[in-house]
Amino acid sequence: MRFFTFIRRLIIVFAYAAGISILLMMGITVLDVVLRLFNIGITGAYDLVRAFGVVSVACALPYVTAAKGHIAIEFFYHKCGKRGRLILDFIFRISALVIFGSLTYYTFGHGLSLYQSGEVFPNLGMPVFWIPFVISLNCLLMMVVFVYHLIHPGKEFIKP
Amino acid sequence: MSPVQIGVIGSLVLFGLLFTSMPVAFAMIASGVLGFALIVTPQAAFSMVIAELYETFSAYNLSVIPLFVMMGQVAFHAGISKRLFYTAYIWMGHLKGGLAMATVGACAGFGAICGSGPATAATMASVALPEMKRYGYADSLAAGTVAAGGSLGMLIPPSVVFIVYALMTEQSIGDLFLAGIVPGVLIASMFCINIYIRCSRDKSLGPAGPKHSWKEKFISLNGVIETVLLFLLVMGGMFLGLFTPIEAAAIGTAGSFVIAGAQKELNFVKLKKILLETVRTSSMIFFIVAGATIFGRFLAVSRIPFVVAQAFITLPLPGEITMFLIIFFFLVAGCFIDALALMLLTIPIFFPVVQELGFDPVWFGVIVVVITQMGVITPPVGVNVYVVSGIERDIPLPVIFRGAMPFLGMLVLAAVILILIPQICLFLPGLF
Amino acid sequence: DDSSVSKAEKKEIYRLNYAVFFPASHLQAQTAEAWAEEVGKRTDGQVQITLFHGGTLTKAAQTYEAVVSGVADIGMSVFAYTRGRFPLLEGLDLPVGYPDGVTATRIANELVQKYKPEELSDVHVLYIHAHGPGILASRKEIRSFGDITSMKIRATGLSAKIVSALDGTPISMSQGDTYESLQKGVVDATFCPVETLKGWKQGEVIDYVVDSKSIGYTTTMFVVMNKAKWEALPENLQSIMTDVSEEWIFKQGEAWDESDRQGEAFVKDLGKTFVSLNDDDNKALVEAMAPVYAEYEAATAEKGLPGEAFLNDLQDMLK
Ligand code: NA
Ligand code: NA
Repeated sequence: MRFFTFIRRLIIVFAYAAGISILLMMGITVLDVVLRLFNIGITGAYDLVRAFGVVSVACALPYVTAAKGHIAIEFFYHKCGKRGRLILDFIFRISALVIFGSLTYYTFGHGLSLYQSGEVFPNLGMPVFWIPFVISLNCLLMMVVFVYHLIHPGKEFIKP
Repeated sequence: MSPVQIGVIGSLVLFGLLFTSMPVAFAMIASGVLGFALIVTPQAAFSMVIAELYETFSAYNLSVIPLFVMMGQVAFHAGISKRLFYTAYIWMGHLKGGLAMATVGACAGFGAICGSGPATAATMASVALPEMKRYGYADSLAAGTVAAGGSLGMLIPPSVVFIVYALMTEQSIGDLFLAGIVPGVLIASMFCINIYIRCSRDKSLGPAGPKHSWKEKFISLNGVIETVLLFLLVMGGMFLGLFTPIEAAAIGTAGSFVIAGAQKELNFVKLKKILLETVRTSSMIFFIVAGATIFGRFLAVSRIPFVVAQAFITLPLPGEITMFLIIFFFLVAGCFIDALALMLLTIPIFFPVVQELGFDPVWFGVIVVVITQMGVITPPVGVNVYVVSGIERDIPLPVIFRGAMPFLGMLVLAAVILILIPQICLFLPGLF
Repeated sequence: DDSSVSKAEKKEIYRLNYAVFFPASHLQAQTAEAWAEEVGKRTDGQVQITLFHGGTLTKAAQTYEAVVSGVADIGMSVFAYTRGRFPLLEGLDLPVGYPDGVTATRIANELVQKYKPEELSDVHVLYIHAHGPGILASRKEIRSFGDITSMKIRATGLSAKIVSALDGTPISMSQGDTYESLQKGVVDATFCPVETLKGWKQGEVIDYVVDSKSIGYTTTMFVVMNKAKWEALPENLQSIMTDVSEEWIFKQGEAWDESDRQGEAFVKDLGKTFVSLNDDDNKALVEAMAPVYAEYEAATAEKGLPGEAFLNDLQDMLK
């Protein structure tokens, strides 16, 4: 139980980090546009917006999943009996666990290989290897959410 | 098995998974990975998924999505959208079905500052629905109007769907934005006429409200000042060359914060809500976009797009019939697939055909948006209807779908008009 | 017995996917298509290559990794899209004053042959190509070196460094957004090969094309193949592909020059002004590039790579 409470808090902290990334994206762009009026350019603005973009999406994914915010076709689902729905949920969560388990593993490996290859953002020269690590960590958090949903069918992990 | 056969089976798997209520994004990723693994290798399949997640999440041009979603959230939490709606109400509330017409007007107005259809529907569901219910409007009319009105947000610039279309087809974003204005206004008017006629026939649908004096009306114009300011900031700055359309999203969001802050409408609690709501919506959209791209990669290696496109080109049919088939395809597929995902999946197939047939790419963009916007209110996958039902939980889903039907009829009529008279879309971009 | 085995081997067909990020309409994509057809013809249909243009199999920036991991069997894309991954070859893109695409392409292949860089060891290199010298296309009048400073110039990666070295303001954006930005004045100028002015229609929204060949930079591109897929090919097929690729070094370079000629004609037809700088200004341009070279040499030295020798070789070959 403690474990899930900790994860729940972590997911919400990540969601706020995602939101703050959007604010930073906005701030950088506004600063860039304003400075341009005075013929000053921020060389890395383009890269920074992209980097914050990744954080804003990846770090919010566990939150969206936990709050059941993904769009799904529930039309036929609702026509199934209670038992049918439990079976469908079970199939979905198991396959989601398989996919996100693999993604956690492969993205982590991708991060390692980017670290070794020394790839950087084109304009800023900032390394890129941390991005797959961020995605990998969030895939891992999503697995925890699926495990929770598997143990507690019908319940949201986080109330939206 | 040949790649094409695997492609067909993979598409069937996608449909199967969608019907199990698996979220759309997950279903696209799952069937895409599976099919890609069968055609190429499992290792390559995951490598492809990782590359696409990375590319989609870090795509500079997609940064407009979270920013416009955030702008809509600020406008909602700071009361900007509520005041806009109130003004529309003062001007139109005394007419039969006037509040519903005001809602259409508010949707069009909000659509002018917000790039996302579901975000427009969500905002209006929170603002207009309670008002309409209070004045005794029928649930079906109230909820249907809000769900359908959200589609205006996609036609009136800025619009995420237009941006995605422009990027996929290398058209000018500015031309598409201009091309969407008149059709957007046309459809808004058709919605209003439809509401008026229906409410005149059935008094219980949307009873008339109190009449307001001209003085009250002019005083109420205060309520649209903020929206007009934001519109001028975003569109004006773009046309003056102060910033690019992509940067405009950041400027507009910052502008909404400034306006909200100046009116002391912002506080820490609201800011937290704005952040969480924004990331919830935008992350969900990004995941669907990534899922559609991943499924698209699988379709690409299966060679189905080539086969279908080839069939459409070589089909011994006049250009108009081929165009009609394409539009029919969008209409049917739109029942099942989200507008954005549908476009990402099928534009690469159809766009070369449309170009080959000599149709105007900007006009085709507007047609596609109108037709895919029908999809957001048709069952089983009607994103706007889901959004409205998510906010107003005591109106059942079927009631909202039914309430949206008359508006669907108007959208079909509008599409026919736009097909017969392409100049409605094209004369504005032609002027600049 | 032996003869039936070799017969079966002969009949085996190798199907390969080729990811090209250029759209189908681009001359580079068509030249790649011709390469694939030539390989098919000379191997008697034993090697069948399917082209995916316009990034439909993998996006440009992911193409190299896609080839390494087997998403694509063959891939053509730009080294600079994954900056930092090819530290030594970054030297090829430096503003050394390339006169044309054929020269840039030839030198790039010779240097890759000579240095056999470690950074390319995870793929099989078929060939390399590079576009003609980047020029400065501007909506504001440029008559001398001094006019370039204090301008907002669309540039990414290395060309952004060139702009900074010229005291201009580099602004990053995709080629797709550049047209509108030039039209509206978000940027004053763009750094690109002349062919871009036609390919992306940017020629319509600029007024001056400045001959900056004295600091002509390039963008080097690779055509590489998945290592396992390459090693799985019998030797006779390998040698045919190597031969065809060698011939295509010139063809691909020539295609760049042809694109540049078409681009130039396009801009001339639009009645835009072509500007040549005087000798003093050209000298000033070249001198201003010193920090860009120094940065490359320092970065490669730090990684223990022979950047200085590489750059010296490159400059010698241009003489
Ligand atoms: Na809009
Ligand atoms: Na639908």
